[in-house]
Amino acid sequence: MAAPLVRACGFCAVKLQRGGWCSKYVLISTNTFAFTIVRPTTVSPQSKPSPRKNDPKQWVGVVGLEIHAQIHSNTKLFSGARVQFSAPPNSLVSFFDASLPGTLPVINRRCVEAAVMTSLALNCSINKKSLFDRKHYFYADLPAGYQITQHRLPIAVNGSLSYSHLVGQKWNQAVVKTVRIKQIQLEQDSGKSLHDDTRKQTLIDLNRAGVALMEIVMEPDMSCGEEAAAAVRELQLILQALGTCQGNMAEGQLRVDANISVHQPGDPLGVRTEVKNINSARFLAKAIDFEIQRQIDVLVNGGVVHNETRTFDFKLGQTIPMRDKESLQDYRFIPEPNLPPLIVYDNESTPVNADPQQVINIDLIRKNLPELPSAKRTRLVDQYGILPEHSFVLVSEDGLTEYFVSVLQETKAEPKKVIGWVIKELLALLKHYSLTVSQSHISPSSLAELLNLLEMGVISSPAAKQVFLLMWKECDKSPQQIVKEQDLGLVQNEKILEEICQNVLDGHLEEVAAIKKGNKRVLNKLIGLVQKEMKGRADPIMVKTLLERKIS
Amino acid sequence: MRCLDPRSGQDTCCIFWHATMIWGLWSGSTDGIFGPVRNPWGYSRQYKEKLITTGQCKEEPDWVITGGSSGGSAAAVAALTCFAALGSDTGGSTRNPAAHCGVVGLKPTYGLVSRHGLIPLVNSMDVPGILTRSVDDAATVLGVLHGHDPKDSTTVHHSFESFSLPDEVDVKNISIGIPKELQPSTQAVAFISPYEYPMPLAKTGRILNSGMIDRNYDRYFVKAQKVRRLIAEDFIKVFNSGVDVLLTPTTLSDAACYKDFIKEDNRTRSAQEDIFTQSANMAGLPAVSIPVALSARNLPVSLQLIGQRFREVDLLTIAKWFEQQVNFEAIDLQISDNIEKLPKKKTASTA
Repeated sequence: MAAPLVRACGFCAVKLQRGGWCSKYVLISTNTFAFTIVRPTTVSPQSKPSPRKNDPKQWVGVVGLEIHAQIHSNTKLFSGARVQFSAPPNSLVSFFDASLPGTLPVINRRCVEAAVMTSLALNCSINKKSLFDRKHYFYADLPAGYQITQHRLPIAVNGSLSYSHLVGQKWNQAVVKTVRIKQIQLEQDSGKSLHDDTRKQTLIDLNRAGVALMEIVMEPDMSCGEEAAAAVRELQLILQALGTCQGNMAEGQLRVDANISVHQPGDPLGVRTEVKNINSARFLAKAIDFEIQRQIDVLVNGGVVHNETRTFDFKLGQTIPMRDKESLQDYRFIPEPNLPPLIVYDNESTPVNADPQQVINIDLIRKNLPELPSAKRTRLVDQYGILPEHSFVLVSEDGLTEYFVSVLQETKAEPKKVIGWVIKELLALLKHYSLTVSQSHISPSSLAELLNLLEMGVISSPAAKQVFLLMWKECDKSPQQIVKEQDLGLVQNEKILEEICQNVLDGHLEEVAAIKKGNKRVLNKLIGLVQKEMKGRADPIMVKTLLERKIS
Repeated sequence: MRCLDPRSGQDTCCIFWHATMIWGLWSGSTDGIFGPVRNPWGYSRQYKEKLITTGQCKEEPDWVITGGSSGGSAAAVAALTCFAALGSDTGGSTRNPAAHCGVVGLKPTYGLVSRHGLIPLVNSMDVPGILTRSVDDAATVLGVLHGHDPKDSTTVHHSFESFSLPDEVDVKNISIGIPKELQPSTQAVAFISPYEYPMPLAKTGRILNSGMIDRNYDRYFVKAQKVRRLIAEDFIKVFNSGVDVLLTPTTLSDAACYKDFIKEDNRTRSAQEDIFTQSANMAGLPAVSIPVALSARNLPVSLQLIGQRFREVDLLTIAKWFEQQVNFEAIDLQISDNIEKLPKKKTASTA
């Protein structure tokens, strides 16, 4: 009797032919009475896998980023049309942007300077001679049919970006990581297409066509969403400090595409996918983590990752394949015939009789670079003795450093004390009400006044916190006023305090006994109870002294 | 009409006539939206006299083409309607109609005259061309048009100065090179006198100028660029060896009459027409076509001189000497006799 060819998989009951493959197991042999089912670790339809392949924990993500940063300039890269967000459609379009025949590109000096500044800040080597190319493809928002970019020889290569990645249970340990910058190139932005499905038409707005972009390519040195998000946030801070890009992802000034693959350490890199349509650093982290997990799931289940472009749907929190999956594009790169090579100079190579208007000197630009975020953080730690994670927060929040310094100027309180107020109390309120530092209800002077009251012992620390909240709500009242009105002044009347202390001691004989035995920490509980009675206004030192005296 | 040069603020001459120009690399200027351009020489006394004796081109349509692609401009100058006209020259499009219409056609050095406003064909070879009735006039117009234009990044900052030509030209020490061998096939052209390098000139032209861009463009495009560089280097070798200018015919023949022109496929015929003119565009060199004699059909025949980059003063000086020697006949236009035969005014729709 012929061996039955079909069996039900003993594990998932799917009917299998010999060699058949259900989601987890394969039927490899069968005879009349027995069949053998094995798990894919030993036999798989793909090549010989290692036993680790099934273990999701063994896979690591490999993430690279392609970032397009819109250069902050008055006019576009090759034409004199103005750059402005949210202008009426097609109101900022020159003949060149509309690609009318007979127009020619003329490079914008400010854009080259911005690219050089950014490249220097990212530790790149500047190519003193770089070239422009045409990248051809057809799309309605690209009227010329090509984009002018720098394909063969970009303006800068081989840089690095260091960023802090917060780890640990309380996110209080900062690990410094570095990602290599492959290159930075200048290129044109395209126009915008707005799809009107109701009337089945696409509307084209060319305001953005021709705006200068810096494409910053980061090597796949990152391994998860959080790292990528941290790198992007650091890049945003750098660009904003330089003034070369405003870095607002929501407004499209900074666009990030992620290239993601997974592999097992030691194995060659896996097939990568590209994820687009990410408009915040938070979504970037989500999209990357989702995609890494998706790829791991596919591979663990014996599937294959396809090289494709996916879009991030932030509502679902998932990446999904983009509708038009094109085959490999041939961009037909040719040198841009209307632009000579871009030459930048340094002190040595600047021609003697050069017109300074016509020459870009990278040494001069390097000299005039503003303070970068990393340098600022180090300086704040050295100058004020605050902790690195504090300076991290100060630099990350726009205007917070200036606020902090202003407060310090008007109070005798130590920086270490002030920083707590700025980072914990003030920032918490700002975040709660979604306000920027400049919109704070409490000015640096007011906070300084409050801290002075605290320093002088007029109020206690818990009381100060109450006053702070009231100051926020009643912006026009000074701290002294509030203290007076709410009667939050520190109580230092020994008689009153003694009475309260005695009451507390009488009511907690167990704790008293414990303290007498040597457990000093219980004293804090008693202090707390006294403060509770006094609504936090008792002089803490006096309370402690009194209690200790009474107990012993 | 006087106008100011926006760059220098000086008075300059003004172009106030717009002639029919064709956008394209090869043509007889016969496919424009307002109708084909007719060569004024086809209505000259000289041509009509010969017609009677040779019996050619008697049937309608019997008018003569201008060549192209700047045929309208050349016809306007030849018909005495204007002092000068502008054309474009990518492979000979100014010199070719200049030759057929018996006028001077100057292709300046690439980068000397701004291309801003010039509808592009091949950005690395296009230049605005100048059409006039005399070499002196061409020098005058060049004097106004040359110079760096901030709107065209490929114009150079050169110490080029406007010039006027001497009345007495001494050619005693001038060395003129004539290519020894030219094969009119599309495969190869042998060039330059002391060195005989067969150059796939015309083929390169086809590759660079045609739409043959596909996935293998890298191979063709880079190869064509290499050949182009070789051509440019060969010119330099020739000029370094003591040759001042090169001399060639401008076209292969005199102007055809329209009915003969449309018999052959436009492309096949035109493919050979730029054999003498294309190389100057490849190398970015200045070249000028000057009418020297009338053909057997009493239509203009021209010679071309090719010079060194930015040395238009030398080029045009020698051209002026030629012009003085040949004393080319002026066109004897007999408009009144031909009024009934002139094309009626068309109400062409504007696209």
